[in-house]
Amino acid sequence: MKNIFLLPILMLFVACELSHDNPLDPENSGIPAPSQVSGIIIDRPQSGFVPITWDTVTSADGYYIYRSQSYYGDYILHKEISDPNVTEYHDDKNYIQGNWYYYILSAYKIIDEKKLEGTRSRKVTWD
Amino acid sequence: MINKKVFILLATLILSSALLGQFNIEKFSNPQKYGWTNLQERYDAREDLLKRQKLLQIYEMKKIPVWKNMLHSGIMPGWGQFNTHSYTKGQIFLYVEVVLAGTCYYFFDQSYEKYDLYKSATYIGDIKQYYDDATKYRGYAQGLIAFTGLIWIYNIYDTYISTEEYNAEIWNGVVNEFMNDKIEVSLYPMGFEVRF
Repeated sequence: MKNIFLLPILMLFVACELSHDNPLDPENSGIPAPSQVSGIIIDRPQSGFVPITWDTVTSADGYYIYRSQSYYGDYILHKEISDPNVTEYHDDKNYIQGNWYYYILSAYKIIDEKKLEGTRSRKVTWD
Repeated sequence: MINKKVFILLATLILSSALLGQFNIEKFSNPQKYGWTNLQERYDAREDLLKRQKLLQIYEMKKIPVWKNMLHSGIMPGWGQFNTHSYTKGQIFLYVEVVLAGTCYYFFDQSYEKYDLYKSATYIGDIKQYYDDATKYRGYAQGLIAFTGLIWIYNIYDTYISTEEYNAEIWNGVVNEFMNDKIEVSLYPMGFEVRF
């Protein structure tokens, strides 16, 4: 009779682990995600664009730039840079003079034709 | 042919006399061994025996088979308790199991939803978050399944106890009614009739 009561408890420990089926998951592919983008510098807007620079991320295949008009607002993917050697961007897309813009940057790596995005940076803007 | 018939007749006579020599007709027909002192007591004893046999048959017809009732509770928690007129207990088992099963379903659904998001995620933060969420909800669901199973098994065990008690009450009731002599029982092939 005691064994009958133990049966459901045994069931609890069976198949607890979910498989890592996502091909981009480092646990599955064994390929680590790109590091967080660092060294981000955003200068004051000049001549109708916002200059953004950052440090190169090794093992990255490109970068994403997200933009928002408020610090706590929604950050929309604003620009994709598919050259890993490019570390500078002049943001003049839908730029309105006098507005403040906030940015988040991240690096991505291509695995099986899919892009694995690394940890996103903190929110940054000009001083 | 005649010799053969004579032989069989003689053999039968010899065998019968031998058996009659061993058979004690007085002991066999002695009513004193049952405590009967007269014919009326013998009739009363026969009447009493018939009544007891009828009571046993009534009990057999009114009692609930334990294993059958346990099967009912196995199919639907609380069903066995309803059969033994333990309605409150039956309702509690039924509602608890329904709520637990519903909650299990909710957590499994959440787990699969998060797992689907995990499989299609491309951002490392989402990949980790959705996988952790899926595992967490799955753990909740599995824990609840185990708990639901325990309650379900206990419900079957309780049905066993309830049915035994119910059958004991049935037997006591039948016997009490018989002892009070307020009951007149008639048995028919398709059932029985009880008159108070």
